[in-house]
Order: sequence, then structure tokens, then C-alpha cells
Amino acid sequence: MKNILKINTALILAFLVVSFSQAQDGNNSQQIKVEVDGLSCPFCAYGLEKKLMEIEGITKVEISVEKGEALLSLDGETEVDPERVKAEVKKAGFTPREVTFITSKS
Amino acid sequence: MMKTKDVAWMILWVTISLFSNQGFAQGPPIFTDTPIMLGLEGRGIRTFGRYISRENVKVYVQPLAIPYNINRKWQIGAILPWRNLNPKTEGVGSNSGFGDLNLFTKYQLFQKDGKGKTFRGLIKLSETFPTGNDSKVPAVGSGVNTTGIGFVTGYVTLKYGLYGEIGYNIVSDGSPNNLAYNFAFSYPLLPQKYPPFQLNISVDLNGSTVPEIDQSILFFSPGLQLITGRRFLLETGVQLPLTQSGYGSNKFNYTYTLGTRILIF
Repeated sequence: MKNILKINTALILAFLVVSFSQAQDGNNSQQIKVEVDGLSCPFCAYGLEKKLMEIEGITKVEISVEKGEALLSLDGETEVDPERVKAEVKKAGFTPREVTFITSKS
Repeated sequence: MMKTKDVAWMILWVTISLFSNQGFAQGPPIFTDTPIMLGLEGRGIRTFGRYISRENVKVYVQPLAIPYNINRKWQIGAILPWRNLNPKTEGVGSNSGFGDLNLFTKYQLFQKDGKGKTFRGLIKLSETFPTGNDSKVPAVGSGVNTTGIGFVTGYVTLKYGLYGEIGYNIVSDGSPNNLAYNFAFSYPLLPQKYPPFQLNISVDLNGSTVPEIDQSILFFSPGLQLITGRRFLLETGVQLPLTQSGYGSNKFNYTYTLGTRILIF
């Protein structure tokens, strides 16, 4: 009986440790905000979205033509170079401005 | 030696070609080119049906265009039109088939971007090859090479777009050359967002003149565009002649366009 209790306690502790560790990982999500000049038409932003999605480590691209910016979600494992982000914006036919890393807690 | 009738048909053909290719404005507006070679403006496939009504002939043109962006500043492309000509003249039958192949290239000369706005300009070169059959009257091909050089500019903001275009077309066999000029204003009716769902109106002025034979025309061209996503656009418009001279008894009545642009790459 004691052994069963020990095993159960160990399993519960292990579960709590794993859950806590996962929660810690999930707490910090990283995003990059890049300001883009020349975003004057929504129909021409598709090329920008495609180019930014080609960067390794980017999982999602949200473009706001009203704000003139793109918000990039990161996978949390790959380091993304801001200069690479700017280069892809240029390749897409727009002018990159400030690139900002945003760490948010969920 | 070309007969007068043949020359008349060739001038008609060149004029029709001019207004057929106008629909390959690279994006809004509908009848004028744009200096923005992005999104639906490049790496796409585009086609439209255009019905042209003139006093002596009814023409239906269905061109297929494929532009391709080499890089952000340089685009190449091809346009192949299918034509159907129905003369109203007694004893002249209809004719249809693929017309002349047009190859073009565009290179961006300048770009000035700001938040939610851009000002760009490009140079455009084109060559039309006499690939269409010109052995039957009315001919679907011109039988001549035409070289075009043009300049396209535009100031586009989230609230409106202003566009201008001027082009000179040189016909290889000494036939009259022509000058074409287009201006456009486009206005989005819905809030600008991405992915896009847009309804735009555009109002164009499309002109062409052949100084050698004192021929000129100016169209007023209103149109409507519906963009339902990243890759698909529908557009429609009419061209109504404001002034025209030198067309004799073959004046333009109107043209009607219904078309689509699909991004494939």
C-alpha cells in the first residue's frame, strides 16, 4: 500500500514539475514588430507576407496596413536576425523602418 | 504595296491593340497602368473580356497576360490576345483567332515610401510581334512589329490613388505611330485591411493620338473593382468617348470590360 502511495506521489510530483515547466515556457512568447513604409494597398501586401514567412523561425505574420506594420510570431527556438527581416521587407518592394522585439506574457 | 483598305484595317488593329492592352494595368485602376509591381500586380495571371463597339465593327478581345517579377524592381511579361472581329460592312465576313504576341518589360526608376503611402515611377518597353494571321480581312494580326516605350507613375495612399501614364508606339513598316496617355483616380469604398476585402471605384481618362493622320480620341472610363482575398480580383468598367476625330465613319461607340486577376505564384 505504501509503495502504491509512493508511486502515486512521485507521479503527481512529476506531473506538477512538467506542467510548471511548460507553463513557464508558455508565459514568454516572443514577437517582432517591423514598421513598413509604402504599405498603401492591401492587395499588394501579399508579397510581404510571403517573404516574411520565408524567414526561419517565423510561425505567423499579421499585417496591419492601417498601422503600417507587420507583427511576426516566433517559434521561440530559432534566433531571428533583425537585418534579415529588413532585407526581406526590401525584397518584397517596401521600405523597412524600426524592428522591435516584443516579449509578452500570456 | 498595301491597299488603302488594308491600311485602314491595320490602323484599326493598332488602335484596338492599344485599348486592348490598357486593361493590363498592373493593378488598380482598371484602364491605366500602375508603377506598383506587387501582389496581384506581379507573378499572376490576368484575363478579361472586352467588347468594343464601333460604327463599322464589333470587336471582342480576350487577352491573357502573365507578368513575372524578376526582382522587386524588374518585371517581364507576355500578353496574347484572342480576337473576334465582326464588321458591319456589306460583304465582309467575321474573323477570329489569336492576335499578335506582346512581350514587355518594366523597370522601376524611383520609389519614395512613407507610412501608408508610396510614390513610384517606372519605364516600360514592349514589342509586339506579328504572330497573328493577317492574310484575311478583317485581320486578327497586324502583320507589323510595334515597339512601345512608356513611363508610368503613381502616388498611392490608403485613402486614394493617382496614376499617370504616357507611351509612344512605333510601327515598323512606316505606318503612323501613336501616342497614348492615361490618367486615373481610384478610391477605396471599404476600410483598408489585410487580408483584403476591397471595393474600389476608379475613374480614368484614356487618350490616344496619331498626329500624322490627325486622329485622336479621349475616353472617360469609370470602373468598379472587387478584391475578395489575397489572390483574386474582379473588375468591370466602360469607356465612353468624350471627344474623337479622324475616325471617319468608324467612330467608337463604347467599350465594355469584365475581367479577373488571379495570383498564381
